Amino acid sequence: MAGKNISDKIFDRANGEINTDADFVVIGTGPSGATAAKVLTDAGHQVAMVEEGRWVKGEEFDGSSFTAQKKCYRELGSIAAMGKNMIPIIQGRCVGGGSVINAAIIWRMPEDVFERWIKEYQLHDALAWKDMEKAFDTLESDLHVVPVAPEVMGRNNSLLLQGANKLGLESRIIPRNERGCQGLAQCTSGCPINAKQTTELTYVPWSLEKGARIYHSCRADRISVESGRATAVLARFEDPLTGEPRGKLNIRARKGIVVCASPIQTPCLLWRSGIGKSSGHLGKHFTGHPGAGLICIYPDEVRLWEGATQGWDSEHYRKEWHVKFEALGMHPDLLTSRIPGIGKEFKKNVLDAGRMGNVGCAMVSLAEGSVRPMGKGASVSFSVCEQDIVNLKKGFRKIAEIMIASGATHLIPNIFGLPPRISKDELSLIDNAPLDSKCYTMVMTHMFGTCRMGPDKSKSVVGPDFQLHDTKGVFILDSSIFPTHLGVNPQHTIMAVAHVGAKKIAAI
Amino acid sequence: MKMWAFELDWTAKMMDTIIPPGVEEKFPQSASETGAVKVMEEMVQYTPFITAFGLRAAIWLIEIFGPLISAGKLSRFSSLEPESREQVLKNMYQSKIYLIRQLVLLIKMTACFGWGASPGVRKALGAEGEPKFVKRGGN
Repeated sequence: MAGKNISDKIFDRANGEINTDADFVVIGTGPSGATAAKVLTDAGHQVAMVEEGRWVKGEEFDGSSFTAQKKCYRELGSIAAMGKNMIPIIQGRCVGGGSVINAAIIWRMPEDVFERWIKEYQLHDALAWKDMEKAFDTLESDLHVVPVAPEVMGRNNSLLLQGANKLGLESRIIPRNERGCQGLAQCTSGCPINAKQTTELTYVPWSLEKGARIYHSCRADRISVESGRATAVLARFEDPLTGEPRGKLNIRARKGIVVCASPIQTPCLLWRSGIGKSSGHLGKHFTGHPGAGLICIYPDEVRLWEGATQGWDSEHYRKEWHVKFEALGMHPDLLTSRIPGIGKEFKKNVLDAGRMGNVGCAMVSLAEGSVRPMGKGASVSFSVCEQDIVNLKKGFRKIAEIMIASGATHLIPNIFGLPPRISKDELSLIDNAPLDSKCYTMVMTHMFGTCRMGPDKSKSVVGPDFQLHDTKGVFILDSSIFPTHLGVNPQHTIMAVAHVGAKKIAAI
Repeated sequence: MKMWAFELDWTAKMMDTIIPPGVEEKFPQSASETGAVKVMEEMVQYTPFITAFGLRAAIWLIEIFGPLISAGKLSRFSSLEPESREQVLKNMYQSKIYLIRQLVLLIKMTACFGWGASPGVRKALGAEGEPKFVKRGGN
């Protein structure tokens, strides 16, 4: 956090109750909230950010996943979508939100997806491609987006790139928002050297330097509404880990409230506030990119814990099979949890950990679920559909071929019903793997759709002006307004949409 | 929600069945020797009630019903010999019933978070310290 002294703009507790006001109150400081705060502040508005999580500094990260889970992950990483099977959902809860725990992957929104939004969901009044491109340019400059440098690629990324090239597949070295990455493979457990250009290191402090304030460790309970217009946010300070109360915050919004709390927390806040429900679509159409991983074993050392966490990916089959491949490095705490076996067998398998490679297969799920508030948290109901598993199997088979082409000798499929290890001559076993989703270990990232945007008040929650159809003064700028998934990593699009939306809101 | 001492003891036995002492010279530490039980204790302490309840339920179900489910034996998991414990968890881990597999997977994941992050295991795997890359000079 360089620059001007901003410590007098940061609050994490109240002696009793703070009653204050601002032009705009922004709820959430992840990619969308921080972008909105920056744009609104730059436009001369007085902005107050409210963030449920804590402000965690880089030096607090020690490389342990569990340390990061305690400090930065929602519910210590234990939140899950419940359906036919349980799918853990990865969400950040700290200043910087998801940008603190993602792998900094930058993808411009695919144009075919944008065209679908315009044609099928009629978002032409909300978004124009030229504005999106301008926003992408600004973000890439602000966040220092560069491809992974060769010296920090690491063997996992390099081998997979070679394998994909051998097979003639389109793939790339990933551009990331980073400055001085040293290949510690710790993106998902917090960058200890502040190389990743998270919003916690960029747009949040930059907004504070220009006059914004932040209330962190502060949970927005409710939006209060008078005569159909939102007027204030009622929040409470509490220790994000222990829940220990630390006072209240009542903050009046003179011009508007911008909700950027994620496709899970945003609809829950609206439910608790009794707004956004008129169309009957609030909390519905929940979707995302559930994914599963395939491990392989090479003859020589790979050391998954060295190199860019994610330095290689491929969207070659995004349109055809609705899948995307991405290399994923990890440290022994996460890696060992995915190594098969119990007892002696497990320990023997761990002997090969240094020679393992790993690729995630993210599905563009064709299924939809829903989100409802449950206590202080949320209940997420979601099951992948059979076609998703068909696509996942095709993706796994192709990833296996890439791995073999890059020199791997064995695979660890982690599919129930298949042997724990299969050789390069047994890839057809993947084709015959079960279609039951319970046979796969999945994780959900990249969520969308629970407050979808559209011009028709009966089919959407948010209008093309980014404002709730049924309540004036409440704007939604996170990916809950996205009518579809993207098929690629969404941070860049989320920030671009927030950028475009915040500019419109600033001009109102 | 805080775990009782006997629950922590059960957890240690389950984790040490998944990651036992010895076996490989390279990493002789068992899960509990690396403080992995603390991970479960903190998960239960700091996650919301329903999650904490689920984790605790997994421990109780394995302790009370594990031997019955996997071997038809009416005994407690913690009272079995180490070899029998391993067989119980292996059977549950390979069960055709998803929920039974998940019980063991939950304990295993938590155990690995502690074991895999311990300095001894990291050193044995060559994952201690920073990578030997050319450093690019920071920011």
